[in-house]
Amino acid sequence: MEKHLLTIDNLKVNFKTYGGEVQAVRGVSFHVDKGETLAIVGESGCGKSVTAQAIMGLIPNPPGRIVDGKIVFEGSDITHLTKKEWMQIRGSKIGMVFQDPMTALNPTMKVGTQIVEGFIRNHQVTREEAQKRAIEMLRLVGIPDPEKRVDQYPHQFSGGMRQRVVIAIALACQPQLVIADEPTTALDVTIQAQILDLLRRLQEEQELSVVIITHDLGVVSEIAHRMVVMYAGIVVETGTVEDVFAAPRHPYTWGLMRSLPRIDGEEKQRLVPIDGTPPDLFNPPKGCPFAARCDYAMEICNQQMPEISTFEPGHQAACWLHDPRAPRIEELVAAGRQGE
Amino acid sequence: MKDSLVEVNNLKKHFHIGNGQLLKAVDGVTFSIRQGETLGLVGESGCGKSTLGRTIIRLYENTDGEVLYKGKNVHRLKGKEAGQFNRDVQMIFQDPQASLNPRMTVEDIIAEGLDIHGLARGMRRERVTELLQLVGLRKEHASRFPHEFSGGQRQRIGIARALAVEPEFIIADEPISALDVSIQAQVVNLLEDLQAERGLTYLFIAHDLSMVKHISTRIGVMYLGKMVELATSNELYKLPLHPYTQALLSSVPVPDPTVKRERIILQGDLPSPANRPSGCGFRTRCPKATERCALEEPVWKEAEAGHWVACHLYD
Repeated sequence: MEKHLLTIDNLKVNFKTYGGEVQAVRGVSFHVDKGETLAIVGESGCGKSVTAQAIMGLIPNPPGRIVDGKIVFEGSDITHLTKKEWMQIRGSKIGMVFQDPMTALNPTMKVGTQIVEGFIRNHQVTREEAQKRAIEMLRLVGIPDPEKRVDQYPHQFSGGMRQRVVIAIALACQPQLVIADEPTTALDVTIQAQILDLLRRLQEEQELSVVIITHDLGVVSEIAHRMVVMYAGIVVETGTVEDVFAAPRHPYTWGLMRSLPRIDGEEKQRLVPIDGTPPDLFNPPKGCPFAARCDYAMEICNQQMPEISTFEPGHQAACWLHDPRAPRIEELVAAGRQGE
Repeated sequence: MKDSLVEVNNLKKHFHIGNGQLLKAVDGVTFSIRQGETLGLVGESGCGKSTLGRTIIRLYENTDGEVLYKGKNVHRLKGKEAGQFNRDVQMIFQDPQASLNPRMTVEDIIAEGLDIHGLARGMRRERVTELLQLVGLRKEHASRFPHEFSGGQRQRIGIARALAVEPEFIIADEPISALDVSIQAQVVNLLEDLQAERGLTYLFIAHDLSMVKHISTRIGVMYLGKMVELATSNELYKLPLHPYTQALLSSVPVPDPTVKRERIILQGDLPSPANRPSGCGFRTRCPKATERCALEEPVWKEAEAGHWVACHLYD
């Protein structure tokens, strides 16, 4: 256990609402090693952002609360820390990059000040040193003319530049782990390419661990080493990006891959959508949450949560089809490959 | 051009944005849309693709140039002809949450067009039921309100509303951008089926290049208010001519870790359309720009049969 930088074990998060209690995350487990990029993929409402918020201690309580499970970072349990204890970790050990760089930045503060805010709190430095550090960070994330830019305000930056500033803030205290929640979703594709390139370069240079939350399988394959596929608050499949793309084992992963058009594809094929919609998490089904939309659902799928099957080392899926008692498994796996 | 349903000639749409500044959102665009095809329109935010769509459907008055629909200038239409145009051309919007009136039932939303054009008198309910079924919803949904539906279902309601008046030409402005991937495919398939059944013509505006390639017959690429390239979808993806198109295509992440592609990463950001660079608008980010690009604006020309481009490299 100790060798992982971050371990999430059976995490459960609920939110109280007027309509009842939503079970947003229902028993999620995964780990992140030093120097690797892990992608969490899934559709809106699958619990991927809530999982990220839990890692950063940002679950608003109330209405949210961690009802079960453990988050272990660098060997110590960080599941239930006080506000003060979180201040020691957030920024200095775990950096954060949010989706919308406009709302993540303070519009009334110079970007330089925002970059070194956490750095000044954690280190005894003079103003000149702090300013130097801010310029250095801007240069690191590829902002031209950093000496001038450091004293400007967020509205003087474009969307892509703002996201670079947010990344500079996340990295200012040299954290071991960066959590990036949909860091490129609000950006145009040519700017997205720049930001992904930057994240990849920084990750390698600084030996960072990165958790990237995204709904875009293209982004996953560009940047991540391993991936976790979430659906309705649970992890349905996890493995290295190569393994999962080459032989996806969960029908939901098959569905996701088949529903995407390929830009480099030759012939026009009809898209294969996943029919139906995700289940209601106020009252989640007691069996596999994907059963209602799954073409291969069996009786057991509606009755009981599937057990986890392991294929390659680290490649796991939670699906009854991989139970030794399930019928015609090889054919189904082959069917999953057809969609590529 | 033969068979063209819509012809856009040197269309311009400028906005006054205060301080005597002029934002040239669409600045001299020429192309045509053929009967029964899907023309995809791609480009990054602020390139003018939505303004172009809205000007074609007369949501905006044009500043200069013209849009011909079946040979008639749409911005000059009056009376009965204008009414017919409003029926023939419909729009599907990006955000199905914002484009459906939350205080109206689905039945009233879908039937609004029918009422205005005086279609379906006495058989309003039957028509609504028919339309709901056509887009994959159920009869019972008619009495519900928009908030009771998921995003994908709301987009189906938007499509049913557009189809109610039996249009010939539909402008879809980012119809799937707000939806999850598994739902996007449902809506795209629906749009394709409806086109096959009813011979519809689409102008499909989007920034998701893979989806545009999938659905379009031909694709136009816009940058800073101008069209920079137009070709059939396969040709554009196989042999993009304009350096911007090349960079745009190479920026799209491919969901396959075994594919390693040569990637062109553009430097810098999109300039503001209110402050367009001289000459070619793309020259500030273009890896192949020369002195000439700053001085002269490239002409929109047919580089190969059916493949249009505006770039000095192809003179």
